[in-house]
Amino acid sequence: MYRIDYGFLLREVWVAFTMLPFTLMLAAVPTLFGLAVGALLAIVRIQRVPVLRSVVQGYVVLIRGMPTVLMLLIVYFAFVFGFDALMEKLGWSARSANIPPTLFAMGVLAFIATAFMTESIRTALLSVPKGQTEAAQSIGMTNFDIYRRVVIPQALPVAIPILGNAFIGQAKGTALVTMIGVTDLVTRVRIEANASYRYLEAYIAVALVYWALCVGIEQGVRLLNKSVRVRAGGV
Amino acid sequence: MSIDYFSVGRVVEYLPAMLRKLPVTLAVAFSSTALGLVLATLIAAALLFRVPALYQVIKVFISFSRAIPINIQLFVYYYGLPALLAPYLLPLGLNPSRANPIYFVVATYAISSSAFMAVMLSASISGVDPGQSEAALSIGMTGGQMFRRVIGPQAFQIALPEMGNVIVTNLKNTSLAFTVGVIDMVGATRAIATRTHHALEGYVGNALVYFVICLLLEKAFGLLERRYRLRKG
Amino acid sequence: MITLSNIHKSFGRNHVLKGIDLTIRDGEAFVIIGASGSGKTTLLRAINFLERADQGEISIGGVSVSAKRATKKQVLDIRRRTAMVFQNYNLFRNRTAIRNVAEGLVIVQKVGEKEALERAAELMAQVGLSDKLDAYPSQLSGGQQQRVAIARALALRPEVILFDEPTSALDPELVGEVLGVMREVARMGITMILVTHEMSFARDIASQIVFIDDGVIVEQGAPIEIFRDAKEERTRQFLRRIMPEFTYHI
Repeated sequence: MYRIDYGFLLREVWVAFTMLPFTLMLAAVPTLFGLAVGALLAIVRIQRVPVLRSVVQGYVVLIRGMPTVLMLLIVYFAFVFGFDALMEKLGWSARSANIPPTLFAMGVLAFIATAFMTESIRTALLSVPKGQTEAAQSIGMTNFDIYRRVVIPQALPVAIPILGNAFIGQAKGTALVTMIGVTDLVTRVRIEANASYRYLEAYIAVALVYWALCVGIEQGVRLLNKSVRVRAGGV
Repeated sequence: MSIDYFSVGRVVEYLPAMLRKLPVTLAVAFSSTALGLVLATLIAAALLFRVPALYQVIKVFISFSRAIPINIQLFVYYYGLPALLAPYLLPLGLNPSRANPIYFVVATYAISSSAFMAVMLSASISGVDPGQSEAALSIGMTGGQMFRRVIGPQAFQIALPEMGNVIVTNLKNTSLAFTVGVIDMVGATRAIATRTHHALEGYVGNALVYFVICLLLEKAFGLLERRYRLRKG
Repeated sequence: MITLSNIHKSFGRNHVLKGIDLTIRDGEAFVIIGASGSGKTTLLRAINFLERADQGEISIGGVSVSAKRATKKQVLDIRRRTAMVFQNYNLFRNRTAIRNVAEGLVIVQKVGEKEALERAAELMAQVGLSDKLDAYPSQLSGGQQQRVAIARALALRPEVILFDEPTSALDPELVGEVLGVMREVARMGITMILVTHEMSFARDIASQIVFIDDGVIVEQGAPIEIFRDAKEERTRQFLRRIMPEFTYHI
């Protein structure tokens, strides 16, 4: 009968917990980046900007149809090999090994986040009935004003839960960065478990911390949603 | 390291060896989805009937399954299930610690996706217009008849798109099976990478295969949805 | 014969039915009128237990059950003696029109598939929809859907058909076709209980009219008694409001 070592479990929960700010950063920075760029790309798709719109669509479909791990590994290896090859060719001494893997990780996560954010924002913007835009046009508003004063305020209550889910998805995705050598909570806790073979406790600890993180985000989104809904006049 | 860090030729060269392991990948994806659906049906029933105690436990389980990264869940079940099951299996001469890791992968994805599917099922069942069950009752159907003939088929139609998402997610998650030692498509790629020191081409090939299958699945579900919408809209 | 005695029903603190007693004879076209929220729809739904009354007794064709204590089996028995036509039609969306009509026969009454479909086809002809047998509800207009719903109710040969505002969800131009079919049902001598706002239709086909207000029966009588010589001021007020032209005609 396997006996769980609760002392070790508790200690690892603490270790994982101290790494939480780092993980939160890994989740939040790419999400914010994705939010900004995704908003632009969503508008590119909705406004049917020629050529660009197909490129954006292709990018979104590609990212959504591919496992995140593979994405992470591909970009990582492509960058590492490419960078080193380039440096060698130029005769410079810089090597990819000197670049912190956290930067790669954030880059890849941002690349992925942007695709999901583009879709989320597009869905939210499209949820505003066409009649609203037409009414705004009929009173002579400019495109910019239509977005700012009519579309976005109405899309917001729809967008927040969708974006919240995307953010949770990103937070869960951070658990993969250990595979490209980032020292995050998973790596830290696994190293400690290597000594005692208490892997079960280690991963339960990681699971508990992620659980708390995601439930926390969920609650935050719920509160935000409530306040937006109140201000939007109870849509 | 040489300048030659990526070649399309090698992507093509590695593809056959990877594709030989594709059946493992597909088997994991589909068996875990099927198993998950069975589990989800039971869970959804408990949710809909609000079975006391069980209801609370399920709520916690669903929150857990949705919030924790799938690769972490995989490890928890990979190490946890043998510990949990050993007392029952060892007397039967089975040692779960030595079992093929693929069983744990299937179990993890089945359990995890059952949470998503349970929510999906109970939402689709409550999503059927209440007028439909009233009509069924008004012509004297029993609860069972009503479910089989009216509510079930309509809930199925509502659930279909989400069902497609779950299968695609399970398929994409199989790419993590290598972390517990399953030799599937990605596992085979890693073996090639160690041998040839060319990792990139293998992963690109893998990604393409996943991409194509995901696309096909989405098309297939799109067709299914259209078919059911046209006939039964 | 159908008797309701002392039916009470509350939703939370809202006392909707406050002791309703009614007797409906076989073959009668019994019309319930009243303002929205007067409890008329709740009363209708209490008869086939879609709404379970808190108190009172319901008896249909000699089977008498207590509203409060009715067992599952008794409820099923009552439901199998009645059929209902809903405001929103509620056709089974996953079945074609003819299948909707045959469904109750096959599943509930265990009639053979072939015979059920034959009977369903006859009824579809009767409601004038022989050309729509294989259409799904989504492909039919509201009026057509409601005619199928009436055929579905007729198929079961119930002791009574309950009509819950069957035309109030319809576009005005589609009301006529449904009323036409209902007139036919009344002429066939099938017992019907009808909740409606179509006053002139009620006057035409009703054998009895009952006016309900605030959960109690205010007045009951033949159409001519209610529409021309209503004794209660509340009834007259309601009729003036719902059909102002009425006062000019007479």
